[in-house]
Amino acid sequence: MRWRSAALALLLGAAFAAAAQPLVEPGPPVGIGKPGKPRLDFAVTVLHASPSPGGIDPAARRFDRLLRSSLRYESLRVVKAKQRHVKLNEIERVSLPTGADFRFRPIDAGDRGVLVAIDWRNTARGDFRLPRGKPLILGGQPYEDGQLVVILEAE
Amino acid sequence: MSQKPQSEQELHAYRDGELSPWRRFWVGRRVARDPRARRELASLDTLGALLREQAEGARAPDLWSSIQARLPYAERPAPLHEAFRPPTPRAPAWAGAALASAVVALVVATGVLSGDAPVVASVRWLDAKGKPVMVLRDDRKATIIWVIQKPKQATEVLRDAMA
Repeated sequence: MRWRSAALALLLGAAFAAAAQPLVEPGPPVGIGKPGKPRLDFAVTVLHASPSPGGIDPAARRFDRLLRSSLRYESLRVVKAKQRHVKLNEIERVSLPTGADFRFRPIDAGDRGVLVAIDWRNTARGDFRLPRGKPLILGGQPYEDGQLVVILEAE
Repeated sequence: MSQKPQSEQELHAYRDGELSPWRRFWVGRRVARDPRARRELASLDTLGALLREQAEGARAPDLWSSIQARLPYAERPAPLHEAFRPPTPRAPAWAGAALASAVVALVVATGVLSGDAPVVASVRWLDAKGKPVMVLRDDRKATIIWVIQKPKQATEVLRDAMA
C-alpha cells in the first residue's frame, strides 16, 4: 500500500506542477534589454520638503503618499526630475540645487532588482537593492528652509 | 518407627496437594484402606480450620488514626496530571499524499523558493559619515532613509559646492 501511496503522490505532484507552470512567467531581468548590452533605466527625482505652507506639487503626489506617514512637512515640490540610461558599473551623476552631486553606479542587475552604489556627497553613501517599482528615497540634506529629498527608481 | 513420620509427612503433603500424581494415588489408596490414616487426615483438617479461625480473629489493630494525629502537617502535592493528548487523527494514506502534492504544487506555482518573491529589505550597507541616520521605511512599497543634518551656513554650502 505504501508504494501505491508514494506513486499517487508523485503523480498528483507532477499534475499540479504541470498545471502551475503557466502561472510563472519567466520575464527578462529588471531593467535589462539585450543580454549583450545591459542598459538600465533610472528615474531621479529631487524634491524639496518645507515646513512653510505651499501645498503639494501635483507631480509629487505619488511621493507624498509615501512620505506623509513618516515625515512632517507643509509643502512638497519637485525641484528636478531626470531620466537616465546607465550601463552597468557606469557612474551617473545628478546635480542638486545645493551644489552637491548625487552619484550612483549600478553594480548588478537580476530578477530581484538592480544593485546600486550611491554616493550623496556630504550626506550618505551605501549599496541598495532596487526592485522595479520600489523607490529609494533619501532625504535630510538642508536646503533653503527645508530639506532635499532624492528619489531613485529603477524602471 | 521411621514409617510413621514419613506417613505423616505424606499425609500433610497429600492434604496440601503437594504430591505427584503417582504418589498421590498410592497415598490415597492407603488412606482409603487404613482407618487410622483417615483419622489422622481428619484431625489435620480440623487443625487447619482452627488455625484459620485464629488467624482471622487476631488481626493487627489499626494504628493509623493515632499515628496520623502525631505527624507534622504538610500539604500533599497535587498529583501531576498527564498532559492531554488529543487522539491522533487517522486519515487515509492517499489523503496525506494528495495534501503533500498540493503543497508542492503551491510552492511551485507561487515561486516562493525560486527567487521570484519580492525583496523586502533594500539596504545592503549605509554610511552616513558619522551623522545620525534613520531608515524610516523599508518594505515592499518604498525605502525611506533620512540623514539628520544641521542647516549649514551659506559659506559652508558654497565651499562644499566648490570642492
